[in-house]
Amino acid sequence: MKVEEERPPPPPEPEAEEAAARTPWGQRLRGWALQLLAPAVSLLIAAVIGVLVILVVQQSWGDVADVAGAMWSYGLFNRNSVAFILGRATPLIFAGLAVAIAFKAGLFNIGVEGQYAIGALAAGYVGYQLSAPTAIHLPLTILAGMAGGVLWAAVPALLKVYRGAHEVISTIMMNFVANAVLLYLLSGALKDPSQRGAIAQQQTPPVEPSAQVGSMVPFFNSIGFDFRGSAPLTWFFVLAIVAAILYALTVRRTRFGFELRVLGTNPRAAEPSGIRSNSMMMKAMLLSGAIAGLVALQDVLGIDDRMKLDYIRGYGFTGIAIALLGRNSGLGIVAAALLWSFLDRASSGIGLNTDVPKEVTSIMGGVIILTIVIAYEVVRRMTARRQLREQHERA
Amino acid sequence: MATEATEVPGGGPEEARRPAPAIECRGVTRRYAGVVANDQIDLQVAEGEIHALVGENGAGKSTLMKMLYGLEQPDEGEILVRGEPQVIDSPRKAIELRIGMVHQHFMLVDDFTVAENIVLGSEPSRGAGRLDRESAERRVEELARGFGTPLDPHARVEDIGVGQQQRVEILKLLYRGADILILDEPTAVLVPQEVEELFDHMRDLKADGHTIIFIAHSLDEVLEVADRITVLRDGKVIDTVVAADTDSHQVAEMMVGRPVLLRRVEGKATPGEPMLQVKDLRVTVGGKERVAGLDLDVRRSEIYGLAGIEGNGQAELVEALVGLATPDTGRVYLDDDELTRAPVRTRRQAGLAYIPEDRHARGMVLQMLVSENSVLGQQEREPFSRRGLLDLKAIRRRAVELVRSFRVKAPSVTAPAYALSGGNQQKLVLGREFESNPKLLIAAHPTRGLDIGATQFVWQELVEARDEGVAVLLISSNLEEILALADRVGVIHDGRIVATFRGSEATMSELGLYMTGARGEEDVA
Repeated sequence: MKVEEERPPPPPEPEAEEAAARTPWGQRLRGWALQLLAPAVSLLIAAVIGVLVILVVQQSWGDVADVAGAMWSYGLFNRNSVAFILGRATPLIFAGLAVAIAFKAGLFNIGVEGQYAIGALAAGYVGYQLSAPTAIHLPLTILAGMAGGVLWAAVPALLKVYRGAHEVISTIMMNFVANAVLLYLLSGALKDPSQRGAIAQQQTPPVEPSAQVGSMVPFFNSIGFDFRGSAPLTWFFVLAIVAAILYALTVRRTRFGFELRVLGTNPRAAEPSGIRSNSMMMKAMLLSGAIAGLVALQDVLGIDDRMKLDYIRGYGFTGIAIALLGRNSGLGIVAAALLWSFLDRASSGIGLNTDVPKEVTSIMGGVIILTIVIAYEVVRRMTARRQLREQHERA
Repeated sequence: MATEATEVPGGGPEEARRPAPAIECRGVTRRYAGVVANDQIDLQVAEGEIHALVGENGAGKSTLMKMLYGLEQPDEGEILVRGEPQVIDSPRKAIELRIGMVHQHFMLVDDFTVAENIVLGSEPSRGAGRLDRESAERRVEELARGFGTPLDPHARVEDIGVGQQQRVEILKLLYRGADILILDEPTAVLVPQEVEELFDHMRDLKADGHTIIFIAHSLDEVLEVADRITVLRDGKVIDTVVAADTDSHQVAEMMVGRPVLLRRVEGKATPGEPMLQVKDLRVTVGGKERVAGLDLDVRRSEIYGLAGIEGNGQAELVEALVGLATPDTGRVYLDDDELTRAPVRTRRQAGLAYIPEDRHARGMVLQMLVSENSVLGQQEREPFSRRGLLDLKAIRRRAVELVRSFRVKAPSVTAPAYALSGGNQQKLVLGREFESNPKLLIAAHPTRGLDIGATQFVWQELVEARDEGVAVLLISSNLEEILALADRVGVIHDGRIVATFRGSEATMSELGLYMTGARGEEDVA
């Protein structure tokens, strides 16, 4: 056969080859700008809707200004605001990462809520039951928390892999079971004996000091901040950031992450590429459970130093929103958690300093989620259209 | 019928004087961001003819069809339907003009019956929104009978064959009153027998006064059924020729712009020892034994062509060889390793390369990058990853190599794979598997959906791989391809190899006899 006569381009220079391997900078910048556009637009829309809600409820532009002022001054510039935002973001980062890693494999882990409840209980138990030097006790306690999460994620994972049970249903069910287990143990076997009578708290005895995680306030104050000692910010924040970095590296730079993404985006291509879907789904779900086990540990080991029923407060569900908002990227999840935490802080400011119900921020949070879904879709289509155009340009 | 109320434009006495073409394009131009997809297209499709549109991938066929069906609008020029200038700004408008289109991927509801699918969108009603099922089924039956197409209106679409589904698509158009039918690569999904039936059907429709425009890749098919052929290249009409006055070489040359030869490629290499050995393999899928005691061996430096009508166990055989299906009994050896029940990764490590039939779905991840797709299936190999860590630079380098040596048109290797056109996506998968340094290459329908230029290229690559010592198992329903490439040909029928020929001695008619089961194993001397 004669096909060779028309091999078009002469062999390119080595530099040209390197250049072909990289996306041109202009194109990259446009891509990034598009990525940032979506969250920015949805924030703007959420703000506009927030304003409308205030106007409907209070019917005064003055209140809008009050709310904006309170969000700004209390949310960001109050003495403890930064500490509060970082501290509150910590469990949300873990929860977002837990949801995201499962999602990368195409699984919806709705059970982060139950997984961290069991994780926190396990950590609380190891925290007060054991006594050992910090170097042993603390890692063991944290591992117990992760193990609790893994245990609770293992059930839906096994059901999925061996019986094809849909993980959404089974993880939701496991949430209910976790709640019941928690109630049972916190008012029974693991109950704090000091709590008696009508106002008894459902909580474990206090965690040994050797399993406690220190506050980050002294560190921040040593570099020029001026937080109150009681600010809820511990070294778990650093762990959360490390987890986010590890997550990003795993997804982008490891073979495991590569195979996870293949499975998550095109399951039918996974098996022919030598990827064992079942084993990958199992690993992703257990990893998700392990990260979920860390969600409430800041509360248990760092703030109140014991496991309380109160600590089960919907982080797992917020985590879904965080993962969505952060587009399952490590950096995005951290940013989304910080934003969420800021809104939380701002809502306290609104409650304290204005006549407007602080639920306005909850509305804004909800609206952000809704608009972001739409905005991402719009940007996706814009990108696709651009790609198509470029394809035609080349053709 | 649904469009009885529609007025026939251009009807009347003057039409009798000079019959206007069913479709006429005058200087139709369509640009995408400065690039001309259709450049001053002049095209006349006469009333009641079968008009074929051929051209390589990206020549502008689809764009033109989309404009006729109202999915896109021309930037310049005009489209006349039955002599009247029309602005076809939506498929709805096209249907009003009695223009219908069957897409390559069918738009049917699998759970619905044939009749329900056909009437969907303009259902006969018993009032209050209730479907008049009986009258729907009766009308569909009449319609089908009228066109000589036996079709069970009660059958569910998921239970009937692809050829029948296509029939349903065509009937759907007829039910809506279309008499200009656009068929987008209708033969791509059909086996040879079904192609023949489709052509008979097309001739019947033509005899009935319908106009058919169809797109096809196989020139022999085009020459067989079309009255006239329009060749597009680079968005321009090269020529419109009468099918009876031309041959495939002439058309191919017009398409590609240079002489092409698709003919038997004689080998330089001599087959060596067996590389793949399959003994008494049985595979059961869905309660039916699809591979029924099959023996096969493919030798080093040999292309073994597996011919057969689709559905005779080829797909299941390939799945068992690749490791996607577990055989009931039997043994599979690659070189000296027994791999009967080995996972896919072990087989790939042992030197298996696999070009899946459904390359978009099983061979790549469209949302991932071109570079990532260039190493899919080889991600655990050095230098692409070491100790579980990816080497992104090495991966990009491999991608650049593939893009260059397989002439994949890509904006950059860090673009998502969906930014590539379909033909280029295919080339990427093919290139990746060819370059994986295999001992055994399993190629399932490797040129399906490719244009002539790309087909020629893939053939060349298969021969080169063979000459380098690779054992190639080529599965194809295209006999021409098998006869052109194979050193040995095996015919599969009902899950068994019923006959084996030397490649140079096989003939199409003889293969056909074994493929259809007209001759069996006992007839082999």
